[in-house]
Amino acid sequence: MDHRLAKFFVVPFLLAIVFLNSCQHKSKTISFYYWKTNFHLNPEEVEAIKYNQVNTIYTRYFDIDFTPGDAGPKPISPIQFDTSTLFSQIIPVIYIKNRVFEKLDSAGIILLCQNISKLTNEINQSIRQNPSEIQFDCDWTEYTKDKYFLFLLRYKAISRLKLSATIRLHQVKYPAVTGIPPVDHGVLMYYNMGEINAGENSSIYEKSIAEKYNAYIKNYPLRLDAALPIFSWSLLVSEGKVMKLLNKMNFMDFENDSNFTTLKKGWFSVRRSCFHDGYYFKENDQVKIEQVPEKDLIDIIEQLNRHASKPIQRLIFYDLDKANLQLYEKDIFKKMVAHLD
Amino acid sequence: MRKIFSKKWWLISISCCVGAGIVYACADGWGEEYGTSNFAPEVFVDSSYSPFFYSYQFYYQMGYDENQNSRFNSHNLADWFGYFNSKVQPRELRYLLESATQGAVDSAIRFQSGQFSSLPDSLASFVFLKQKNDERTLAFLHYLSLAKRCEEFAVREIQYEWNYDSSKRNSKDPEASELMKKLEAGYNGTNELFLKERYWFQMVRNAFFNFPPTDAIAHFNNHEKEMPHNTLYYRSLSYMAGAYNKMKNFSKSNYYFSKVYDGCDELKTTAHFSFHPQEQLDWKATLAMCSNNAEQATLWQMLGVFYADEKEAITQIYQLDPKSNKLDLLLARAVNKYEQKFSYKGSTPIGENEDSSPTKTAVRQLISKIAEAGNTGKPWIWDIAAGYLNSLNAQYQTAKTFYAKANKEISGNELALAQLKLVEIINTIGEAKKIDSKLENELLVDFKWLDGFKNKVSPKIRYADALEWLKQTVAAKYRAQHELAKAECFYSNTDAYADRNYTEKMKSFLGNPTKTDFEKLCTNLSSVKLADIYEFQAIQQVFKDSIENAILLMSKADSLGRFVLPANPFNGRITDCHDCDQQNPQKIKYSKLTFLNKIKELKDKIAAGTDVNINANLLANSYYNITHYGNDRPFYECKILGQGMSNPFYISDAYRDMLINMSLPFKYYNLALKNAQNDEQKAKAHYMLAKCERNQWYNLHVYNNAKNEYADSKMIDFSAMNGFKDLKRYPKTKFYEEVIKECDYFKSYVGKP
Repeated sequence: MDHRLAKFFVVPFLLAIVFLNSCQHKSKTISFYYWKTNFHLNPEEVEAIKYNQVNTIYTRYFDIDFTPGDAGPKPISPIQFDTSTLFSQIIPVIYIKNRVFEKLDSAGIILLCQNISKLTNEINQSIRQNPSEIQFDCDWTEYTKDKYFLFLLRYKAISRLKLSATIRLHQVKYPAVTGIPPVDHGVLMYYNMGEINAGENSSIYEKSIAEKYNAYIKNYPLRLDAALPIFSWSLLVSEGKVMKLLNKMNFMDFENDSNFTTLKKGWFSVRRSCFHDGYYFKENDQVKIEQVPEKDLIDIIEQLNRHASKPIQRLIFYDLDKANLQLYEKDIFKKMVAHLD
Repeated sequence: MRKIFSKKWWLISISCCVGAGIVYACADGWGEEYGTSNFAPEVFVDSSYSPFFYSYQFYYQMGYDENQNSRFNSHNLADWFGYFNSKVQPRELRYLLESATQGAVDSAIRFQSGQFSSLPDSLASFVFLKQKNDERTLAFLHYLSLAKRCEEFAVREIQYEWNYDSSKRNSKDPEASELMKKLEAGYNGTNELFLKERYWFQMVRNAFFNFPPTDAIAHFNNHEKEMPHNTLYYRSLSYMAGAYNKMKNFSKSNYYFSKVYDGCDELKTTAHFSFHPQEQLDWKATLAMCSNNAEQATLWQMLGVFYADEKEAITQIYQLDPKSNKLDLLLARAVNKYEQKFSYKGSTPIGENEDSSPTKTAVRQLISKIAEAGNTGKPWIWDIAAGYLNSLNAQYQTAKTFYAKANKEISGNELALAQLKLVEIINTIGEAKKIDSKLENELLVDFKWLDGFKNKVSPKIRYADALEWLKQTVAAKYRAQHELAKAECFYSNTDAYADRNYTEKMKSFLGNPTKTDFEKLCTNLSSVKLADIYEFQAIQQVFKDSIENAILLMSKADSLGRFVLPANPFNGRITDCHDCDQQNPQKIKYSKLTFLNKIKELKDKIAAGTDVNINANLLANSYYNITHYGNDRPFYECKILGQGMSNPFYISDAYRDMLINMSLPFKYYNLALKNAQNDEQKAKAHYMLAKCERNQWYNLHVYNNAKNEYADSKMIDFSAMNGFKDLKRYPKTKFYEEVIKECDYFKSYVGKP
């Protein structure tokens, strides 16, 4: 390229970068988790990405489990991509079952790092992406923290990527017991805080439970993004016992079906045995709906504003799925971000 | 050839980091995969349904079905063996079918037709390929070559390895049209039905994987009428069912999968995995497609089993055809689910174990109603089931009526009679208010009969829970009527031996030389034998420092007294190390009895005033070592006190204090101290007393309360221990130096200002 021409292009380009960076500092970011084994976005999901100017999708690449009887940990259901609907940057997320670290020795940890790195790179290459970050999701405990943290350190060393890790509320409350993962930043999972049962509480978000943890967020030493729940599910309850979790099913699935009647707020009763959405419902069984209404999401934001030590910069919504999007108004995500301090 | 790809492999659940999981309801506890059961489906349900017998595994006696790529191998080999009139070596045929590459098969074709002069290396030794231009062999090889090509897209070995390519689905055959033409030519080029049906199967399969689903349906329908309804037919049918599934025509897809399920035993699990009604409308449409009641009964059976609504399925099938054998599996599952509440708690009357949920009541009522009508294909099993459920509900008389009816209906079916007898025994014992001599005579026979199943290989009858329940229930009834010895024989309560009267009663019962037949049964049944009681009493006497009595009792304990202790019980260490003591070579090995004799020797020496410090020290060491804290815990391990109690909380409350108490070591270390001749001996005695003091602190502050088992651990303040304070007064002794080297606590105590 001619030098004069180069100057002509490079200077405004650099300026643009400086300008963009300064903008990014101020603006808050909306992201989503994508948590299916086949990456294929339908038009509603594509629209949500465009409308909310989502640049990054945190995408589950594979799980890792160490099944009894196996010689070592193995990847479960690596994701398959339909690249025709892939417009955003992808950040790989790897879910590692805690029992992997219950069983691994230190030699196994190094091998696990190498294997994850290899498989992740192969998937990256298949979609022609070169992510600068990787996120690990593991519900580690005080008994597995040493190995998990060693794993994170080793992974950082071999990959030289920015590392993030999901942080559950109990890990925020007891950092002295469960430790602080050696990562660049954490993602506070502000959901799945209650027990799954046939009682009146919600297992996804319950303010009274959240309040038991809020005070500890301020002292958590990692910079935190926040993951918020937009998913819903239903519980199939038979004679007071939860029999099954009906993934992604919500009010809309039952309110217009004559086989179901409303029992009370958030509950339906099965009038006649029937099939519905691939599930079978027995007469007199009950369905409990769990979802997080907009007012609760705003409530979560307010609590994060009050308790986070530094303002939250990024909200990652779990998860990007048409079934979840249709539960909310179109501008819900912008509204949430606008509520952030 | 391998088999079709099953959808099951795709259905691998992913994590629930944030996503959904499934709540599995498993049978309580460990043990048999069917949980608690006295009602064996093996007695009356066709064995082809066995994967669907009630189990906490995915499939009964299988776990997950992982035979996708091999389930038809033996079938296939047998078919082709027949094609060659058994004139080929099965080993060669098996290799060609299951292992040879398409390239090798193509080379064999060229050799056969004279284009190649030799066979490929992998097939060089195959006798039946050597005869050239054999028409049947060539026809086989031509088909085999195309079949192997189809396997490229139809069969997948899934391995969850660290290689992304291995997780990808097979790609489509880029020349599937040309392949289809070859398959069609193969079909049209033969008059032999055996080959025609195989080419047809491959055409359907090729269309399923490489063309729109409508093509698979069309290929199936093209020749379906000409084909016999054998395994290959149902394999082809399952592809058509799968094609409708791809088209989201669930009503048709499920209808055809129900035909596969009903017609082909090898594909029952595959059909199960693929059968997925989505909405009530498509389910109703599937039912409407049925051309007869039998087809509808199959669909209801699938609903009842796969979606766990046995009651609804039984109701529907019974209305369609009371004699349908589709009812059998549903009845078995309904009863097996119901009986999970069957309780071992012998002290609880059987009726109080009953789960009174409306669902269970409805199941019991339905089964009773059908049994009363007596119009099913196997009325006796409905009577047995109805009787059993009523028995569990404490309706013993009603149960008897059903059992009497069953007895008349069973003719010569020994397994059925055994099943009936088993539930009748449960009813008789459950009903009995008191065990009298008449019932004892019945028990004598029934118990031996039940117990006899232990020695049978694959007895089919589920006897183990009934046997265990019988023992506990009979024991509870005896206990209630104050016949403690018999109760103890049926179900031991080892804690009760803490009461001397109980122990003596058991000794006289077990030792009675003139027993009735029933008492002999009780004695044989008792898990605690006479020798066990003598051993236990000997141990009790040792902890009372009553050695003569202990020796007397231990010598009556037969071989138990000859048990060799793992460590030298006279060792006294600065820091306890059981493993070290047990691994160290021992010049003299002590048995329980010789150990007691040695203790007596030491006591005699002390009484005579001989080397009192040394002998009291040895005696104290030995009393220390036979407590929980010492190196010879096996000294007290016996039938009554138990074994392997690595934590004092695992020792029964009735015996814990005896086994952890430090009073005897205290007594003799104090005696050693009192008779110490020099500072070395004094220092040692003080330190040993400190160890006892420490243990006793844990006894009083931790092991005194069961709640502490899971509480945060407490620790003694060693600076307050008298033994340490006293030892500090002997800093110039060698023993003091040794303690400083080995005991960090003392070292840190001394180091404190």
